[in-house]
Amino acid sequence: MNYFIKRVLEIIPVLFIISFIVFVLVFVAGDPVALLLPEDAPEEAVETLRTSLGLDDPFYVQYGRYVVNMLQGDFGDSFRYGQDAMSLVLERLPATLELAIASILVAIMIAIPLGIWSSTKKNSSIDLVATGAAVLGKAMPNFWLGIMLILLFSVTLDMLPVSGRGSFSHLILPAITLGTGIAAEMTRLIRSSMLETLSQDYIRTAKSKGLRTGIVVYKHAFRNTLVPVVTIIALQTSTLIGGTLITETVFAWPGIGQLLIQAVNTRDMAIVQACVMVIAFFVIVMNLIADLLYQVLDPRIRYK
Amino acid sequence: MPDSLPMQNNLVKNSKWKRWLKLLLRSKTGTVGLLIVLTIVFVAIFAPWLAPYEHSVIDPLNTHKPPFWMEGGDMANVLGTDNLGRDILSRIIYGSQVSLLVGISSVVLAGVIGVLVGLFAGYFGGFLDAFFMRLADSFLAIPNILLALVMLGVFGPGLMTLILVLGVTNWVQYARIIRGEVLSIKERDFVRAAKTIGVKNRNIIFSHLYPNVISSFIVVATLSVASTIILESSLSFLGLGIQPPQVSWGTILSDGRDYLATSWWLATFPGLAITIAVLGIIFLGDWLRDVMDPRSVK
Amino acid sequence: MNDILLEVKQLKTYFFTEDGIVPAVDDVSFNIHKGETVAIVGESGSGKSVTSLSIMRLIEEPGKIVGGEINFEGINLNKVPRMKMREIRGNRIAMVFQEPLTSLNPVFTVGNQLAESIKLHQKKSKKEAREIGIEMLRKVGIARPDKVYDQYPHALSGGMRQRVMIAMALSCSPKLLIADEPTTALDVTIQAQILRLMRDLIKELDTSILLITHDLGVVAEMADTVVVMYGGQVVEKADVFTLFKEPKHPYTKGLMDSSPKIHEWNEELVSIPGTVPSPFEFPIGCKFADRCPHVMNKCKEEIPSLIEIRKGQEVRCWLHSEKVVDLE
Repeated sequence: MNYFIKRVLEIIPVLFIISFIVFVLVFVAGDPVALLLPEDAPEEAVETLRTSLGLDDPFYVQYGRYVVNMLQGDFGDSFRYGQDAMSLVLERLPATLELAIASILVAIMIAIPLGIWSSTKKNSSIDLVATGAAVLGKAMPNFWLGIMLILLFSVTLDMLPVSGRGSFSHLILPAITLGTGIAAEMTRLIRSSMLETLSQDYIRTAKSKGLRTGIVVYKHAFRNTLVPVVTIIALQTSTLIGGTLITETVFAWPGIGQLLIQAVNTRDMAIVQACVMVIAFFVIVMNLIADLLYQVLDPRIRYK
Repeated sequence: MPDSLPMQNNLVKNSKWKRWLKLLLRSKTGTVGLLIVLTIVFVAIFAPWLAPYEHSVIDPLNTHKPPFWMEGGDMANVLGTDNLGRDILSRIIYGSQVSLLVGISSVVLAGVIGVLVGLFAGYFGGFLDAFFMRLADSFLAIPNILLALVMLGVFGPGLMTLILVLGVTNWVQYARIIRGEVLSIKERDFVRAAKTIGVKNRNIIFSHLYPNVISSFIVVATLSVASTIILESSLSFLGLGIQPPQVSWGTILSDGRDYLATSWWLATFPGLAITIAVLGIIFLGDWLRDVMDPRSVK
Repeated sequence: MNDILLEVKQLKTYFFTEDGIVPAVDDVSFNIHKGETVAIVGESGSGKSVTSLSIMRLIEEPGKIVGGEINFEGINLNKVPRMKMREIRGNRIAMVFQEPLTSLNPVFTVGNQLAESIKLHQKKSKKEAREIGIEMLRKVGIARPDKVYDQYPHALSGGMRQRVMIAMALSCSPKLLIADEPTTALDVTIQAQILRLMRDLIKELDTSILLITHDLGVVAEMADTVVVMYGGQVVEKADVFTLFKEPKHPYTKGLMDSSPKIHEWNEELVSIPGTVPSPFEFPIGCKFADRCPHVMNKCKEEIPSLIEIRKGQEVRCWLHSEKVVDLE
């Protein structure tokens, strides 16, 4: 429990540093007033707006205000939508989560069997195909894979919708696009971590007991690989979220990614800030969960 | 005795290169990787001579021409033309320049930042170390592409910003390698011994850092050129990277995406180019890791 | 001689590596009688561990048993189908390994791992297996066995873990126990306890032991018969009294001189010159030729064969084969 508190406390400075980085970026980005008013607005109108937005205050005052507001989940209103930025982001969150979870599931369903299988048959043709596919998956840009899938399944075969969100069939292509990209790295890591486990002394002990290969591999070896696998999945959260940004654009998936890219293009900084903080928070929480899961999965850690 | 040392060194070096060549030829993927990388470097350097056309020459009478093996295609435009009649092959050849330039220079930049931060944090320790490591954690909590997107949004797209932005987003892994190494060097017995006879910490660290870290550094940097190329193409694809008339594989892909239904080759070939390039670099990097990391030697 | 439990006949286990073929076990033969303790002695790289893993058929790629017979209770283990071999492993032949710290799976409780083979081989329910398991833990001298049963391995000391390993190995009352350096990783005081424990239990269960070790002290304490291995070959074989009294092979003598003796502590310790060469650098003739103090020209050219120089003592050395010829 002590450890848990320590980890949670570590999050706080990290979140502050991130908020600072983002704030500095936005500060550097300059005056949002120009975007808010028509180009021929009179000088006084510009001044009034600047003062009312607090843009004339010194840097530290602005940052202080920003932090106080941020702690209340308030990142200001979106210039484009005229609404609270945070609620716009939260509105889009379910769509992104849906895509992220579906992709992780696809990745797990591919990577775990493939990783285990290729590790138990090291250097066989299965292993070669699996590792080859993993490298290929890593080398292919995700958005290109998405476009190629659209070309094949939507344009040529007319089996699945090109874009948008709604039915299950809308989810298939984006989830496969994102999932295979993550599966590539996962397969590689599961394979190498399984190979390491399989060479351990306790595997030889298990074999010397006359256990079936299946039990040796799935009970004794895979259970030990679970700890690194959980780490991998957690560490992939960052990649996963990064992947959703671009996959959402390719498939016109109405999630945070799409919102963010629009916001960046229109310099809608309230939304950009809210997006970054929500995503960073999510990544940090996932890493924390992974950390806590270790304790459950590895009794050696539990005892410390 | 001292006279014989340089010669011996030379001998060691010579046989080292031979050993490397032998190791390279033994690994099929390593050889393929090196060949791909050398080809791309060659193509990028000699693009103006290799490309059949200027990359941005528009030909309104010759748009959407398919590749040569399809009906309507011919050898004048081997991989076809786009919606403006630009030659795809020429654009891909020129695109290799940007991909390599961005990939290599931003990795170098990230490496320099990372080494400096790692040395600083590891050497001074204490508060400075804690601060830089929290900073590293913060960078890790923001997906690379997200940070790059935001920075490009703030500073505006373009080649130079892209290099800077990708350099700044990628320093963490190098900082961690260097810091870890510095910390472990500080803990070693011979360093403690050297300290007691008054040798400066700084001198010890610099004289021992180089050989120990260089191998993992090269491997990480090589593989990170690959991921940077993908990142660059993604950003260019989103319209926040390279701007026309400059051309990168990502922008060609982005242009071609709108014509998926009619001209599939526009989006297909640049993606293929990225995949092959990245594959080559990964193969090379993996081979380097196998050769350089003494722990992975079987 | 009907009481032979295990007969290893001309066993050859080779490793097919990228750099060439390594004959890790090259034409090794020996017998183990019922209730007997046979020790295989040698330095690392002598092939003693590969011999034991070959008997268990646990040789991994790129290793392969390329010849010979391993007859156990009248069955050639080398020919037995995999299914049948699994029924023998852990049941009729069990094994204890060198590293108690790493030989138990860290993520399962002691009981879980102990019950595994009991459930498998004795077809017991989980509850029955627990009872048998706890009884076994008590037998190997673990205090509060019911508590230890539910603990994870890392909560136990090295000596405790090795006791658990022995309990696991003996839980199905095997006919043969292979112990691969069972005490090497332990403290000296614990070593003696574990050896005593093994000796007592074996008597009780009427189990034979194949003891793999480099420690002549352990051999003297435990073994009835000793097989000395070097470079994948048997160089000397004798009963324990003969061997310690009259070692014939220069390598055996070297081993004796290099191990400390309690009663002659002021005598200088002699080590065998040189080290075991890499598998590819063994001499063409006698594998020990490079390190042997009595080396002759013949030794470098031709491998001597294993010759019985008197009843119960066999030696692979040109020195002694000549003598045999002389005597005749």
